[in-house]
Amino acid sequence: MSDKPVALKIFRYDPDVDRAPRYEQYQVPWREGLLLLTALKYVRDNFDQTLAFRDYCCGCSWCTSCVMTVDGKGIQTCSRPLRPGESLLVEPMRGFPIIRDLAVDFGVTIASPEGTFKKMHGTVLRKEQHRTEPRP
Amino acid sequence: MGGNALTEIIVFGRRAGQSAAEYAAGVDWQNAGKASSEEEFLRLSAFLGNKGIAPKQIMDKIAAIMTEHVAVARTGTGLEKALSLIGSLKESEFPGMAAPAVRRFNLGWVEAIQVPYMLDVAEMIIKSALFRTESRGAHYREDYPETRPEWSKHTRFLKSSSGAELGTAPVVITRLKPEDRR
Repeated sequence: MSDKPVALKIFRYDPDVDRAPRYEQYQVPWREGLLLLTALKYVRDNFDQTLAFRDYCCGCSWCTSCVMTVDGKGIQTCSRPLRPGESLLVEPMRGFPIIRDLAVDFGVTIASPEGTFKKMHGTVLRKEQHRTEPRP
Repeated sequence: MGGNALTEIIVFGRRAGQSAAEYAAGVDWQNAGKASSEEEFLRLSAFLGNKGIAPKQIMDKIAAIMTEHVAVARTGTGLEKALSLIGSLKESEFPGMAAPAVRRFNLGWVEAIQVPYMLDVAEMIIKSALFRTESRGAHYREDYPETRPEWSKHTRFLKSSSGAELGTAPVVITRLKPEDRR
C-alpha cells in the first residue's frame, strides 16, 4: 500500500509531427522524497527519452524554470513532493507557446498581444484567461 | 562546494572577460567559412539516431567512476582504474551513443554534445591527479599525504596536435607564503 506507484498523465505534443496533442500515462515507482520533476526525469530515462521538459536551474523553487500546469494549477515541479499512489495530470505552463511536450517558450510573456503567439510555432494551452490585462 | 565556486566564477569570469575583450580589440572579424560550419553541423547531427546508448547513461557512468575513484581521497591504483574505465567508455560506448532524432527541444542531444567534453575533462583531471604525487589543497592522495615543496607548480594541459599535452607552469607567490596549515 505504502509504495504504490505514482500515475502521471503527461501532455505530449510535437508540433513538427503531431496534428494534435495527446496524453500518455506513465507509472513511476514511489520512493521517499520523490519529487514531481524527479519523476519526470524517471519517465524520460526509463520509458521515453524523447520527453521534453525544462529542468531546474536552482532546484529550490526560486528560478521557476520547472513550472508546469499540474492538475490545472501552475506550480514549481522541483518542489512538489509526491505521495504514494497519487495520480496527477501534468501539462505545460498555461499562457506560453508550447515548444514540445511540457517545454514552453518563456520568451513570450502572458500579457503579450495575441499576435505574438501566432508568430510562434505551436499552441498555447489556455483553460481560462489567467491574466488578460495588457502590460503597464 | 558552492562557496568556493561562487568566488571562482567572479574572479575567473572577470579575468576571462578582460582577456577576451583585449583579444577581440586586436583582431578583425573572422569568417568561420561554410566548410567548417557544415563540418560542425555534420558532427552534431551524427549524434542523432534512435538506436544506441542514451547519452544520459554514459554521463551517469562518468559520474559514478569519478565519484568512486577521483573524489576527496585519491590513490594511484584508484586513479589508474578510473583512467582505464574512462578510456573504455571513450572507445567502446561513446561511438555507439545516440540521442533521440527529434529537432525540437531535444535534451538528449544537448547531453550528447556534452558527453565528449566530459570524457576529455574527466581524463585530464585523472591524469593530473596521477601526475601530482603529493597532497595539496583539495587534491589529497592517500599514497602521498604530504605536501612537497618540489610540487609548488601548476599542472597544465596544452592543446597539441596529439590532443592534450600534460605539463607544468611556475607558481607566482604574492601575499600568502606556502606553509603547512594543518
